[in-house]
Amino acid sequence: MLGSWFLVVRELITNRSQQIIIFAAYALFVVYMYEIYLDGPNQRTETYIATRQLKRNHMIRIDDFGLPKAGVASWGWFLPNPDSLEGLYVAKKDIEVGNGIDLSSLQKLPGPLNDPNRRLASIPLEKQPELVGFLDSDVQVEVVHESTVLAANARVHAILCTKKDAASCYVLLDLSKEDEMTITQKRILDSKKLYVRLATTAQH
Amino acid sequence: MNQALTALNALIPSSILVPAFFPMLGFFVINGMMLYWLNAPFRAFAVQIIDLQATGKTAFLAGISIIAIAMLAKAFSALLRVIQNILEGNWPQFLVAFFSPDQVRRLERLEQLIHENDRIRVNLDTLIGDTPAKPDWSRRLTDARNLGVKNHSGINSFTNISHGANEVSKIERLRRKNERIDFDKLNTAIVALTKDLEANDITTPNQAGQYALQVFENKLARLVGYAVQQANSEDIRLNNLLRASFGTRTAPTLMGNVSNTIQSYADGRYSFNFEFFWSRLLAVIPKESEFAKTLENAKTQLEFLLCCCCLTFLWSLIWIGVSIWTEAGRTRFLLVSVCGPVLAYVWYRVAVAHYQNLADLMRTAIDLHRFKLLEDLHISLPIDVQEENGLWDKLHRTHSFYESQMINYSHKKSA
Repeated sequence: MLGSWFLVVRELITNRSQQIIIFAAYALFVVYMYEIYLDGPNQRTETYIATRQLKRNHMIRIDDFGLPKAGVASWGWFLPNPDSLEGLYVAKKDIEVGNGIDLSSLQKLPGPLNDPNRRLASIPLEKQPELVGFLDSDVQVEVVHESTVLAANARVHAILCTKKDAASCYVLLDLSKEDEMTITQKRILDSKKLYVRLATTAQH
Repeated sequence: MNQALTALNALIPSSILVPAFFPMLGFFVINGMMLYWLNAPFRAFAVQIIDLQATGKTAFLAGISIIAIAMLAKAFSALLRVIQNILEGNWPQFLVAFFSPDQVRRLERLEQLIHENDRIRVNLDTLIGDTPAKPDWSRRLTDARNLGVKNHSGINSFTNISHGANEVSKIERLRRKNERIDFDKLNTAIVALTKDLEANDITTPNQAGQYALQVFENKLARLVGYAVQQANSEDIRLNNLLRASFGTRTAPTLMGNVSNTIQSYADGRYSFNFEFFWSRLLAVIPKESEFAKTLENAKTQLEFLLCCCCLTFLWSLIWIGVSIWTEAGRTRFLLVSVCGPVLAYVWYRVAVAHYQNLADLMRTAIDLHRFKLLEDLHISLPIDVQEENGLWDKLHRTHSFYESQMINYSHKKSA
């Protein structure tokens, strides 16, 4: 058996089948790399890293994530387009600082309320576009009509934007049933005077 | 588009525009596409450039890129001669010794084919040779036909499945498949049909009312003519292939062997030292002549193909390295490690085929312009082939080795 292999090898070398030898050596290199060295997913993908804590239903903005600190991904290899993450919402659970943000942990729309006794109401931020940067999921706000506080204990559920422009955004509030009814009535009658303010600001 | 090409022509000399600039541009584009695919910051940068509304900025970036690519193309075109030398197999001796046998084996195979074809031609010559001792095939059939008509008048049992018909059909099948028809096969058919002709009356139809014997005799006549023509044209084809593919000395690469054909032709035909006299010969070919343009185009085309071959190989090397370094995944590695070398090899083979055309043009240049070179060197034109061979040899010795040779000058009288 060994003798016949020796004969084959000798035949290859002495018969000067150099093209076969070079082709075989290269094929061996490719097979080794394919089967052993690159033993993993067929196409490597990397994730961006969260630069701050991202709560559930937080709408991802471009400054919420950055390049990883080490590895080839720190050079930007195999990362998706930042645009593909922008505008998506954190699904199910919060993402801690330094953790990867992949598409499986995000969703296109905010998740539903967990408490069946609570209601959602949306207030346009057309006249308060600067608030988009401050409002985030779970932030406590007050809903005010002219100078009357309609709901003092509202929480931001999520921010919804139809365009990239902040003026096109809405704040989706998590309210009690009563507050939601009050706000809905006011909105029907006179929506232009309805606005939100941060609860902490109100205290000051 | 025309304006862009005119501007490019003004910026970059035409001698590097096609052979080096366009391949380099393609190289940058394909590498840019790879980066766009795999690298997010580059992708963002590219999108930003493409989305730029300010035409001034876009034009500035495009201008800078073109200048950078042109500079690289210029530098790369300076390397072309070195690259061509490498592809022609001008390597260290141990590499030459390792790779040459492959080419020698190719040469031997070609020589073997020529030898086999010669044997077929010689045998066919004996078949069609008309001597009293060995009558030619046509006379053998005629004699058999006459014998059959005389001895078996009114009897014809020959059909399409008779022995002679089968043998002729075998030859027909060889012709259909474009296979060689050699003497033995042809002779077998002639012998078989001769027997059938002797045993039947060709002027009488067979039981089916057909003149099958006449049909097959005509077929055989055509096939013999075809076999002789085929052997002759094959001889020309194989010898042309041999002369276009191999010189006297065997190089370790296909391209090297094509290159050697020029020197071998010049040396064998005229004792003309091609390497030495080529630049001088180029100087005497009229620049505006169609031939000079054709030669220049062929050279440009070859350089373009060489550039494409090298840059594809370089692309492949770069991305194989990147795939391994970044552990890019199996699919990406397989893509660059298989497609790159295969594509580079295809470019190389196309370049070799093109080099054969260029080599032919160079041989033509020697044939057509060598006397003009002698005139421009103020040397008397030779009277015959022998004198010419001696003259080029003397010139070579004088110019290359500074030997003193007896060469007559011839000065034109001024008007």
